[in-house]
Amino acid sequence: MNSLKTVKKAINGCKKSFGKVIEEHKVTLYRVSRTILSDDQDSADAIQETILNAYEGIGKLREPCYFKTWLIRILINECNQIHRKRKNIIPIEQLGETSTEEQGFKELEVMELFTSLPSTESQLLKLYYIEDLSVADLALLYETSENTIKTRLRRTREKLRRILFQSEEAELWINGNNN
Amino acid sequence: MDQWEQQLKKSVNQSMPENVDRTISDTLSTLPARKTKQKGVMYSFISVASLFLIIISMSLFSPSFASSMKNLPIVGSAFEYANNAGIIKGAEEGLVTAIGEEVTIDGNTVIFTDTLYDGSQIHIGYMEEWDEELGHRDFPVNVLFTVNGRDIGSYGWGGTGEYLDDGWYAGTISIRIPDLPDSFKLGIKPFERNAWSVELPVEKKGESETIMVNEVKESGELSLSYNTVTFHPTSTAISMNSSYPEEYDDEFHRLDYHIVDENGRIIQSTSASGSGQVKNGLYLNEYSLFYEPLKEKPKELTITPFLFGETDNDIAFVRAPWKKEEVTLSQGEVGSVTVHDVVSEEHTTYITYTLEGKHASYQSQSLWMEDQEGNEYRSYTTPHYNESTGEYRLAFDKVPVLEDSLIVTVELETVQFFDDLLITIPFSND
Repeated sequence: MNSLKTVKKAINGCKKSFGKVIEEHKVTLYRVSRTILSDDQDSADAIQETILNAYEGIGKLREPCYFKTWLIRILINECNQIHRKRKNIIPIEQLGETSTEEQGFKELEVMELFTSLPSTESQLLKLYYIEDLSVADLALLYETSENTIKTRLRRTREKLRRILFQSEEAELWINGNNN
Repeated sequence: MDQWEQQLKKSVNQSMPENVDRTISDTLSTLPARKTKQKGVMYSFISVASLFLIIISMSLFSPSFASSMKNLPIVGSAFEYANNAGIIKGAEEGLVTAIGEEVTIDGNTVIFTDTLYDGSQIHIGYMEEWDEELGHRDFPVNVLFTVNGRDIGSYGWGGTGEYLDDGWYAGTISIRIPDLPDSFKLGIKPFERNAWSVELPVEKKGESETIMVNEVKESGELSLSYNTVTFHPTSTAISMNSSYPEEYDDEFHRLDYHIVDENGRIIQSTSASGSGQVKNGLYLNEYSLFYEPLKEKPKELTITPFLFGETDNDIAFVRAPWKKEEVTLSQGEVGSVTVHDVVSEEHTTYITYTLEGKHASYQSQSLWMEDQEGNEYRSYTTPHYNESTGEYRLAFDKVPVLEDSLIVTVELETVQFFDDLLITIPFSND
């Protein structure tokens, strides 16, 4: 079924359609939540609250095409609340837990880089690399133009590259020949 | 794609673990049934910005309302701590409207102390309680603005601030909203839940002058239309449009502008906003570019669009320790920076410097400091330019120990100027 039609049905109060659109976006929700929260249980809590709030408020959503970004904004607010309550800064040691040792090491280094950036910049960059989130989605989320998002992404990437170049391995990271 | 990007992409696209998936299924299965709405309900179009006005009803939270300043401790004006050249100039010219509205946000007191509006941006000063453990709240992040109680369409805003020793954070918010009346109430409230709200009086003060330009310049398939230049008391605003084929967007959306007056003084950029759309294969963009305020209207301004290259090549960092004496650092092909002084005050470190080279608007912000442990101290404000000395002054978070801290810049690549898009706009001094 057309996703937009499903959203419209959900807006009109159809519980089954609401479930369908949540199922459709659940992986994205999880990935977005993990850009803010370090723990799967916290992510689960944030997503649960998001679902409840979205179910309560979807009747007021006037444009079905904005459902995804509307949902993600609710999620980000929930994640920020949990993050604030628990001061849940991502412990570096947890980041590579599902990877092989070598991959984990690389992941560590990449995520360490983000501590050098203001949180708004690192958040935007992480969201950008999530599959299923387009620049257009980010523009809606951040209430700005796609051009502004692109410019901010470019500047953040440049900043990260500059930081990378300060380490001896930087060149390898930049050109991708880390053999 | 760089390797770090590949790694990041992998990191943020993890598959969902079973326990999260189970929580989602459980939550969905326990949702109560709802009364279905009648068909045929018509919805009017709402803008992207107002889309997020949808409020989730949470009766657990009771609203608290703004109260008057009279019961509050005296905290002073947040604008006293602002580094923004526009706010400083606006305050000097007496354009600030003093207010005193207090709200409690997540248990912390926030006092809105001033507003400043000259027809360009609205600046709001606020003092916010903070504690050493939690720092200040990021309250401006999740808020909505209203004008005279009504939701507004698209708008842009940003903010900055400074921690004070006495437990307050002095913050400023700058908002750009099109088509405003001269006097109005600016409402601020959270995105979700009516836990608090405030209505701030805003009054347009000061004289602005708009000069119609209406000139189009073309370079190949890139077309720029210079519309107006407005001299506001707190900023210099340029309105323009651009168009170019869609396939050139990666390159041309990075277009920047080098602006000098008749004396060669470089006008510093402060912010920009814009929107664009693709129509018949062409990117059509509208921009409002904001630059530092000028004390006097210049005889002319020359605007030269430029592009600086993507930084795929190696970046050379140039570092020099601060030895309490003048030091010059190369900025590669574009010139050099000479640091004359570095001083720390209570919360802030200031670097005073001059530039050699013709890309000063680009050079002047490529400067930061590092301590001996490699911690970086960067500025997120525009450098202040002293017309009488020709010196720039940049403010950073305080560098704990200045001695042997490093001043850092980068070797910058030559900028590509578009001379055929250059425009010189004369201004009469009527």
